[in-house]
Amino acid sequence: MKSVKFLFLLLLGAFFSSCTHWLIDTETRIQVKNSTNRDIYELSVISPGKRIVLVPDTLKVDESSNVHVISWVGKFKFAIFVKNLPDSVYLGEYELKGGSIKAEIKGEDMALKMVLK
Amino acid sequence: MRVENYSFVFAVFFANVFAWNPTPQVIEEQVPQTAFAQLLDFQNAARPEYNAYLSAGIIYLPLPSQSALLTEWGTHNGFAFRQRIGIWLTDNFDGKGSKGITFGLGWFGERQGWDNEDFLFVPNRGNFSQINQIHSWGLTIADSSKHWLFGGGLQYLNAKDESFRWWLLGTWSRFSIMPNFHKGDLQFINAQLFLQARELLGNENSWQNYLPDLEFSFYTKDSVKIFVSQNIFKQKYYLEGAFWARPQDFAYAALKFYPDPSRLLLALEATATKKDNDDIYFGGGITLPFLRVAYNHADDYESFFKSRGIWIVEIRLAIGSSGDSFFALKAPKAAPKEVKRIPMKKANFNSNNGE
Repeated sequence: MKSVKFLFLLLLGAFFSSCTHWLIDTETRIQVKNSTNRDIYELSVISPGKRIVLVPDTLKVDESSNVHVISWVGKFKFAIFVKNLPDSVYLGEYELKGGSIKAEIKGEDMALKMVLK
Repeated sequence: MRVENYSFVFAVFFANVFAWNPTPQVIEEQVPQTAFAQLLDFQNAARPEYNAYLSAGIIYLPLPSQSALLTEWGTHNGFAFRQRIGIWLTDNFDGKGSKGITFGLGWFGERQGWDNEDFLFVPNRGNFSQINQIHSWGLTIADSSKHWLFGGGLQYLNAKDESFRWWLLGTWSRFSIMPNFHKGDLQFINAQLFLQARELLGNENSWQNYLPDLEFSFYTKDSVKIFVSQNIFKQKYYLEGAFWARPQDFAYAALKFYPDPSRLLLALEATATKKDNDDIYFGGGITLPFLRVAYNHADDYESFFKSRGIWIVEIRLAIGSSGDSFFALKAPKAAPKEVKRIPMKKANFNSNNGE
């Protein structure tokens, strides 16, 4: 019982000393894997009319990107470019919870989705 | 206490945490609002009869999902915060000096905004961090026996652009006026008519205890806010309201209970606030000497990025002194003096019966 109280106090202490970022990741380390049937490049976060590239790597089929450290934690809309297509393909809205993430891009042709692990 | 009970406390504490997201626009719009509130605090703290005022506050939300920033890109986990301090000291700050003319010096500062990491001193300043500062400095001169005080000073705002403002303060007995300027342009005038009799200021206990405190804030010709505070019972229960006279609108109403009229030890408040979309929502809070816990409180809607639907915990302090008595802002009476202790005879265990 005492240990629970101690743990509780410790958590409370961590909260009120403004140091939850020691416990919670405030950055994301992301690696992208291409499991589609085409070459893809520039995984981006998009907003109406704008984009920010998170992973600039060009990935051939079945290739994995380098690990990129990004300060994006939260819920965002993602898109990726497919080779020989003029516009990017919308992937959907995904939540990045921080920490290490492997993002696998799946699907065929233009119907792509992202699976986060 | 059992483990389940702890989890219950946490469940209650963090329930409903996803109801509100600050936006960059709201964070920026907060700056002039805080600049106004800060000078109001100065006006209330620096009174002719008072000697010193000290306040501090840190609003800290422990979970990054509680105040996720909503931008065009999505919702970013992080921390909305508010850190403030206020000091006003006169050359008679211990209340032991002569009762003649006193000079005072004040600094009210605040740092507020949103950062992607939580911090006490040094922010992380990530890509979407937005950290604004508002500071007011001022000098005052007062004669407590004649009940007047004059003051003036500077105010610094840094939001998108940096700007300096300057302000003047004139207080005589129950009337006080404070204009604020940017260069030659008048920003606002705040006029106070505190009719309520205050024992703290040397007024007698009488029917005048039940006169209202009125406050008129003139932002522009077409934007005037009125604040009324009415003692309902024994200067312990108050009914407060804030209204826009132009354009006619309701801002908030509050019922406040101070078990001790010094307002220093405990305050229980229930508020009804009008949101931008015309909804009215109810909330309240409890204020202890070093801690304030509130939910949907009108003050937080006005001073903390229009927050609602979240529990606000503020580590805080606000104490003023006049002579040898202490009180909180706008209080009618001083806190009770320290209870006298009856001296007890020490038991003498070493007594030697033989002597």
